[in-house]
Amino acid sequence: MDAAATLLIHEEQALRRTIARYVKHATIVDDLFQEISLKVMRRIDSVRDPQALRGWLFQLARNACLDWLRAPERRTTIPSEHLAQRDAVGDLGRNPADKFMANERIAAVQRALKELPESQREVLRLRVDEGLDHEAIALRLGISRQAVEVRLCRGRARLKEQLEDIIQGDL
Amino acid sequence: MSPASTHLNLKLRCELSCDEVEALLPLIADGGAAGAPEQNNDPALFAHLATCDRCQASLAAYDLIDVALVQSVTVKPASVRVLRPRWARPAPLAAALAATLMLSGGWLTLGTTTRPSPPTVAARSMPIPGPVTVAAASPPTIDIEIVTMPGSTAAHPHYLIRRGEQVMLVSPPSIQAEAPSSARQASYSPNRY
Ligand SMILES: [Zn+2]
Repeated sequence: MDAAATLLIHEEQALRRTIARYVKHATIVDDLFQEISLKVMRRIDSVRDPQALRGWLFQLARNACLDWLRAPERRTTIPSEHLAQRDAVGDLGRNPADKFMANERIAAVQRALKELPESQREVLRLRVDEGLDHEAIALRLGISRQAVEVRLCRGRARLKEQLEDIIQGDL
Repeated sequence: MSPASTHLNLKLRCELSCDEVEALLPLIADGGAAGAPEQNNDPALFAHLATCDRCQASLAAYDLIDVALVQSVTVKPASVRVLRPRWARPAPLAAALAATLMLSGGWLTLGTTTRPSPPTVAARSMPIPGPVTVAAASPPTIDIEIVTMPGSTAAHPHYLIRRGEQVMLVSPPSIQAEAPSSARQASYSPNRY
């Protein structure tokens, strides 16, 4: 058996647990597991250090999940018979209840953002809304790159604190 | 000392505690710092993440907030919002749409008080092309915009078509938005490797 198959068999449960942290819908977990498996088979040769394999696999799975969450066109592919089940994390707007949840979530994030200190909110806005990198934010605000990173980290940590319940619930 | 430089120091250690990893998670979720942790530059950190439930759950929370953050900062309050251009709609498709609509006739003038419902998040977050201007057979120019409405989907978006002062809102089922799989809702895309 080749290295990819061995790794996938050995890590399947851990991999599925990782995926399930990002998407709750069983069908999507299956789809993502398949997608990740294909990537593992194609790319495993790029990992030279066997000790790096698990970390590499984790990051591969995380990126696949984030890609899925950020690629909304894929969300329309869920069979309608599954819509009554608990929806995927970040999956929005397929029925009125979903839309309500999505709007609630957006409102919660916006409320949490408003409660951040202005300095943290501004760097987050420049990073997320304008897509600036840390260096560009530092230039724009006339502060050091380190200060940008500190503000970003504190801002994100504070948002996480405030949104923990929503994250654990239905985000 | 910035979180990134803290990270560089932590890299020198063989084993990381959960608390040390926790401090780096916002940076991992952000993905934009020079020298920020990645699998390639810090396999030990990601090996910890791969096997630690606590840190993995915490990183997932940061990641999910990041996704929600992108969605929330891009939601605008307008009742009908013209989405920013993401990718260019192929001109033949837009021309075909314009031609189809003109042939089917039925221009509808919407009063200024007619306001569609607020956009749904799902519709908003679709990777939808921005305004496409198509030269009609004769002036005036026809502008076709994709708008977010209740019931809009990636396959069946709503089109707001303007010809001078005339406005028509349609959702032609026969014309589908073909979003490329690579389209993303925002240029901000950390966590890439
Ligand atoms: Zn840990």
